[in-house]
Amino acid sequence: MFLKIFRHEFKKLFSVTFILFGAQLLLGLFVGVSVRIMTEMESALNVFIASSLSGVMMFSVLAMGVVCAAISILIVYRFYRSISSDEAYLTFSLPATTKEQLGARFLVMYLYNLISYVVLILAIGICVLTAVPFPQISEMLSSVMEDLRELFLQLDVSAVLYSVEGIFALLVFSLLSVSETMFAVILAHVAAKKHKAGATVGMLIALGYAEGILFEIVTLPVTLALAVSGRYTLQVSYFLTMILAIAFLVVCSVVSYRLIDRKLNLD
Amino acid sequence: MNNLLEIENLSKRYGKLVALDRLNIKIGGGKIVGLLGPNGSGKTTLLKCIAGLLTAEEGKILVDGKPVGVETKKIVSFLPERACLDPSMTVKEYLNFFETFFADFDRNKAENMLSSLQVNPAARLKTLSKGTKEKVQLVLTMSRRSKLFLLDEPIGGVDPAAREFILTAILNKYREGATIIVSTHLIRDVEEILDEYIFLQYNHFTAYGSVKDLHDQGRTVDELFREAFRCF
Repeated sequence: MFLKIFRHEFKKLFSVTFILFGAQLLLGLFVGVSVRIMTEMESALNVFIASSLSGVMMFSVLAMGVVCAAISILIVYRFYRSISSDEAYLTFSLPATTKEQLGARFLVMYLYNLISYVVLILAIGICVLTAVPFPQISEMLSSVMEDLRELFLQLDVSAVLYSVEGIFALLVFSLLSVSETMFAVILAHVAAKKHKAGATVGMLIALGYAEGILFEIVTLPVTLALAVSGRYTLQVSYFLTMILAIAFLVVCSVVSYRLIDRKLNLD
Repeated sequence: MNNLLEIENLSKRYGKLVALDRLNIKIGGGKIVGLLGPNGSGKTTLLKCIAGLLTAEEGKILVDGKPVGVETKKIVSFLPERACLDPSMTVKEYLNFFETFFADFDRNKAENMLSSLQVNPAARLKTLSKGTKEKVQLVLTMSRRSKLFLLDEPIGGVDPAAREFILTAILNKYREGATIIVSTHLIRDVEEILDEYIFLQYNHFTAYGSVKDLHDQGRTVDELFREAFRCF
């Protein structure tokens, strides 16, 4: 049942996000081409065309940000619809356990978050590659490769460690954001009698603040105490932040599961 | 006969409001039961508790001897009062959905029912009228080979011809040995097909009996309902 729900939700979200992913890549291409035209034909363009082009380019960059936000909203909205709207009647009539219901949806949200990052990076890549004149692309790529080779030759244990820590932190924080989203939707669903969509947005904002305040309350005294005693290192902050993030992630996931499993109330 | 549905001391509250108060009932297999009562008496709440969409504070519900959960959802088919289908999906996509998720879904039967209702499977739900959407939802629900059907106001929003069709579908399920609990205000329309009636008022069962016995006494469920729930 887990796979069936996963497949259904993945397809469902794809049917609404693929246009936005395509738009993101096209906007990247559009910005790159605009930059190329402006740099290559700077003297030939009159003031009106040049200013129009730069206006359109800025609008496109802004649109890329809007598309990013729209994708995130769609991911949350799909989860909200399946759990907290009238569609939930069908969702919870399925012969699936709460773990299967939430686990499959959690995984779909997480994967779409990752896909949206990858598409954004691709769009920026397309933008850079089209903005630079073609002969310079090979030069640029070989220079990047050279930098990477040098970095690899100078590689020491600490560099590897920092890279692993960075990747781990990205993984934890993206999981945390999905977990918080799930928690906010479910908490609003259980607690709010009316205006569940508004309650979900409120809950998301409140959770963001709560997380920030909690992190400060815990990390600040420890950091200060260590700084006073002269034993503070960046690694301490890193581990403290990771422990808190993982704790928050576990709490959000467990409470979400318990709320749906024991307090499901479709009114 | 073994009881298909057993409810013991079931209570459900919404905050301070008591929606169901210590309900007890046993319903056997192969029956059509009318769940009748005025607005706000707790009919929908009771059906949702049996379907596993609401968590009751106290008491227990057993369907075919099992507590409400994954196993009972395999044998219970619930038709909610409100439209729960995603309007952006087509009827055919929903046929695929039900076929994927419910092992007891009879696709041929659903397609035949849709064709007799002249519903185009390629149509998106958002392009259909409110009544047609309700018909699609009913067809999907009634095309399962479930042991227990819970129908919440199934004939409320449809035209008289479709009403006839729905009642026939209910009777067909009954002939297959399923138990059907129908919650409705339109008692006259369903009275002829009911085996038993349950009256729910102020969150309590106030009457439960056989429709045949009532008819033998020269009375109807509709008359009894009007007497029991007189507004003045």
